[in-house]
Amino acid sequence: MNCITNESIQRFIDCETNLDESVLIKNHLSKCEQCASRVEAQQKLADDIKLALSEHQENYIEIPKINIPHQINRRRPVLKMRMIYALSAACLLSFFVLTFPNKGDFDQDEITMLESFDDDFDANLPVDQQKMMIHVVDPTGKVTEFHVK
Amino acid sequence: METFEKIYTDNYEAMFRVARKMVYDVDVVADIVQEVFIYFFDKVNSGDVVRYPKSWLYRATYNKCIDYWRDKKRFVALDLLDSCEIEEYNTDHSEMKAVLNKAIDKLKPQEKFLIVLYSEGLSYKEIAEVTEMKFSSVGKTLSRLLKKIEQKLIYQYDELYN
Ligand SMILES: [Zn+2]
Repeated sequence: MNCITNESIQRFIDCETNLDESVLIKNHLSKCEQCASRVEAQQKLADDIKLALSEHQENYIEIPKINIPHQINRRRPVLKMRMIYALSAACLLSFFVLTFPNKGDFDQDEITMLESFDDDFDANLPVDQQKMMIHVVDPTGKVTEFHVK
Repeated sequence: METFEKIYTDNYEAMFRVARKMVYDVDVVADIVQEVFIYFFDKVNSGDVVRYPKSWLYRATYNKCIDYWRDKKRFVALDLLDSCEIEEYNTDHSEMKAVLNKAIDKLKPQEKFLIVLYSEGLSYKEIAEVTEMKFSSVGKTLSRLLKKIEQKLIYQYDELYN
């Protein structure tokens, strides 16, 4: 049998050879002194390298608490804010729809209330802080005006 | 999918050890490892799937170490750096290890990384996965690198004693 390659020696010392290969290598090493010493030298070099590289290693590595940027929680407030905007928009819209129904078609048998915003309507204020006018129309057609703040 | 916290606690020490072997400054190492995990967190958080987190983390750690070297080279002349480190070895460590470390430092960055992974006890399969090298060529590459280190050792001894 030919002498073993450096690669085979490497895989042999790293236990990366399959069973057949291992048997062949071991058989050869029992007969070839030269290869046996090559294996020994390569094993020693590998061990020395591992040892040398471990020289600077701490015995104990403390795992610090990681400072994750607050990305997990960042999305929820945004969603919440969006929902608030959407809801206020929906409220405003429904108010406008209720404020200007098809006028002149009142059923005069009952009291009708019409709410509308004052002239100085502030779009930046939430709905519940808007000044509002309520017109109450009674069955006689009399209109009473209320101001709600 | 494992939680980020679990991946962090399971892999922190391994990444720290590897970074420590690539870069000697402990404070820098801690920063590098922290950055690697934040980078990983951002990646996962943005919806990317990392199939082999450990391999990914090894690669990211390596890349961060390379970045650090590149930055450092801008400020410090390499010769000066070498002599500083050797002095440090001589006071604290045996000569064999010092000389060996010097020889390893002379390898190309990706070669040193391979040796570092090897020293960490990674199997050939794991090494292939991290370095994206063919599994069948890991043994050959390692034996070649060991020979290269041996050559550098012989050269260094010649320089020292002849
Ligand atoms: Zn032989």
